[in-house]
Amino acid sequence: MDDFVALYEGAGENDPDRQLPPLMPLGMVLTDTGGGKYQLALGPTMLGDYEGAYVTTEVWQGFDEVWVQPLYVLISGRSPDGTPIRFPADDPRARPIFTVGPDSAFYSPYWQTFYVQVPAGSAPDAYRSARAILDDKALVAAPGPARLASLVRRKGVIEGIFNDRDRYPSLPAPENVGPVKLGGVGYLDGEEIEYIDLGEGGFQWDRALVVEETPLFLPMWRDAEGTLRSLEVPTIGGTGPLFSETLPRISLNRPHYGSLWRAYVVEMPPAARVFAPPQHPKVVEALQEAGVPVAEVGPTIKALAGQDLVDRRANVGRVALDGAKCFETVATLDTCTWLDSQSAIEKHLGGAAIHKTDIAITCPLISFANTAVPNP
Amino acid sequence: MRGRQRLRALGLFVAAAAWPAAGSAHTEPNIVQVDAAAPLEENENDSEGYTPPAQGPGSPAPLQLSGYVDVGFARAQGDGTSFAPGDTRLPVDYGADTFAPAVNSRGDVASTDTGGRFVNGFLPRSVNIGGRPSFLLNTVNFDFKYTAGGAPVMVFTRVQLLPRFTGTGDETRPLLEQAFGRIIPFDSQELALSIGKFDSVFGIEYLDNQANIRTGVTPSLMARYTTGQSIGAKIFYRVQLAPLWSALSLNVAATNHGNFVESAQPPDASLTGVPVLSARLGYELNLAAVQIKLGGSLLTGARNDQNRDDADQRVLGLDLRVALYGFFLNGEYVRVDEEAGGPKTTGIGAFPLTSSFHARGFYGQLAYALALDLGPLRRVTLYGRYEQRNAEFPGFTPIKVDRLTAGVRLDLWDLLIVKGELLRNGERAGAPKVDNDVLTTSLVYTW
Repeated sequence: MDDFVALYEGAGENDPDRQLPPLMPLGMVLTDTGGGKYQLALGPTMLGDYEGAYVTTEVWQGFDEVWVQPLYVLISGRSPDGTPIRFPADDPRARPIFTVGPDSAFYSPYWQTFYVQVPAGSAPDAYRSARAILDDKALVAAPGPARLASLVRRKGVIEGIFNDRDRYPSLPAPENVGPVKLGGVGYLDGEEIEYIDLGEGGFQWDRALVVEETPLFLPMWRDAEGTLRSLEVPTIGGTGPLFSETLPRISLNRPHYGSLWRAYVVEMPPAARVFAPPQHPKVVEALQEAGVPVAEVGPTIKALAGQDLVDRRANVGRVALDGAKCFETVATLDTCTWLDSQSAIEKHLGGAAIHKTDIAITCPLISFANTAVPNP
Repeated sequence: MRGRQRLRALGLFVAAAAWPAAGSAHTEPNIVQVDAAAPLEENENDSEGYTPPAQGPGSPAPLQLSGYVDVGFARAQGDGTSFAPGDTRLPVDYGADTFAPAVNSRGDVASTDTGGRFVNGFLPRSVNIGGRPSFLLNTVNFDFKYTAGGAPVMVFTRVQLLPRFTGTGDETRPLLEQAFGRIIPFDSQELALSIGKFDSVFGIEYLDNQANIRTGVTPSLMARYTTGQSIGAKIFYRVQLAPLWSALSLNVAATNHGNFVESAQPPDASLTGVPVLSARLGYELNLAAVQIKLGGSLLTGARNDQNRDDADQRVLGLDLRVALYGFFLNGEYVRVDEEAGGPKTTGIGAFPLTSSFHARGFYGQLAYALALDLGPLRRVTLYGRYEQRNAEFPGFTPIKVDRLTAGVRLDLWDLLIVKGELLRNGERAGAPKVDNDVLTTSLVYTW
């Protein structure tokens, strides 16, 4: 996160190693609201029949793997049912103890919680680092849930979420966006550090502590010169390895996947078109600025208004395999072959159109099926 | 007169030794300790002495074979590693000093078993004995030296056999540690040019690499940065400042990777295409009662555990040796800085990436050698060493470790050395405290 802020401040202008990859423009990650403050940009993604939205906290380039790191949470004991008894929120011992800092190449926002029951009467500052906990052989660290938390060295610069529904009409209404807890304070090597709490769960890892990736498809198109260019539309979220037909893991309206995505470029066929009716001028404008051919829509679509238009927000930005035909009427709109899911891409475009990149992204879903993802 | 000058030059070559040393098969110009206490003129007599013919009957054999066998017995505390049980920070080798539980002169450790935890190649070689005491055949060393008759050329090859238990079976690793040709073009100048695979030129600890030369058993915590062999070319030059009983020397090398040990950076090829430069400037004072040697060393170039030619490494060092009435004091300070680079390749394997890295450390060793004439016992040496190493991978907890080493060495006849050593490893900051002390011995036959 600190690197994104630094980019806005002009750091690394002549250092390609510090720049985001072209597939990930800075505006898709962070929005500058002025005065040294920034907002996390809410990103839309298509998940087949559902829409989703995420915020991006880390971009990994050149990393084949991302590992889970340990996070220690001090507890005073356990209730009869085994539930950890945490310290009150205003007690410094309630703060999580992180173990690897954001300056490390092996830093990861993916943490495995370990509950550590501290002796009664222990000093409030006795355990504020991994070393202090590991050195006390009497302590037992019991594994707990996964937690997604992004460390931020620069305190107080992230102040909310930027939800641009004019540009991306498929984005959920604010009340349907899950909470992102900003300004949390934890410890790293005994010193305070701020973090963005993105909640428990949401990812899995293997025996080698490597976080499982889910494919995220970035629609691209080839212009007249043959250059592959971004289609400037929502991404398409997958559910598992390519062609594995993995079903999404969802429980209690919380997807237990989709926080570490591996970017795949998907080359859309020449006939594919983005649904961008004129009622959404920012969408049309963005496509035109990018040189993307804008499909003409039929009169009945142009006439959509009110609730009828609202009902079609989810379609805006989707790519139809046969857009030139199915955008003729409202009725034919329902017959479009949408390229809005991993299975649709695999089925209609095949492996030849899908290209794995060296980019992985931490962008956990905070809205799923137009419902806020809880953040306990 | 010409012959006398040549003899003097050779005598000075051998004066700057790794001391105390019982004699060696070391191949560098600075080889075997002679009695440097006396001024040079007192070492000479009025006679020309006998100079064997370069060729023909009575001349030394052009090919000389020598070597040693190093057998040891070692026991390490705990599981033989520096990894703390329950430490799941990854990579696990970033949070500990994996080189600390050394068991032999090569710096091999008792174990590097992580229990399945991910590592990023910051590992020494291991004898895989864990925490179990074990006999070890540390090294079987063969030196082949060929001296061309009538030409100032010497070819040297050092081959070593390293029998090891791998964890899943037995394997003997053959190692071509050195192979180089050396030219001394001028009789009147201490100038030597070497091309091939040879010892480091950095600091002084590389002089102790071989078990039959090293005073004690194990190398220092900083040796991993300064004592490795590499392939390239080097020039050694020394000028005598006779009125000052002094000499200045310069050793400069351009090699594939510099001085890191091969488990850290592979020496046998340049991964970046950019040679690494290393050099040592030394001063020595040779008085009757005391000998003092001071040196400053530098290494600079692209780090050779990855392929980016803009990922630099720099190592700086200062060294000191003092010999005084049987007491020998050796010390070095080393400073290491490495930039992040591409995917990592060491002499052990391939790993995901190279992080930037910084280390600062020093050691000081004091030894007292008592010459004896008690049957086979020729000398007893008591020694102690204290050292510290501060290391940091940015973003990871910086660690500070130290070590106190004490031991005894017995020289029997002129070909057998027995050593016993205790290493007390300490984690002073950053790294979790672990039981990783080592008790080790070494018996070295030299032939």
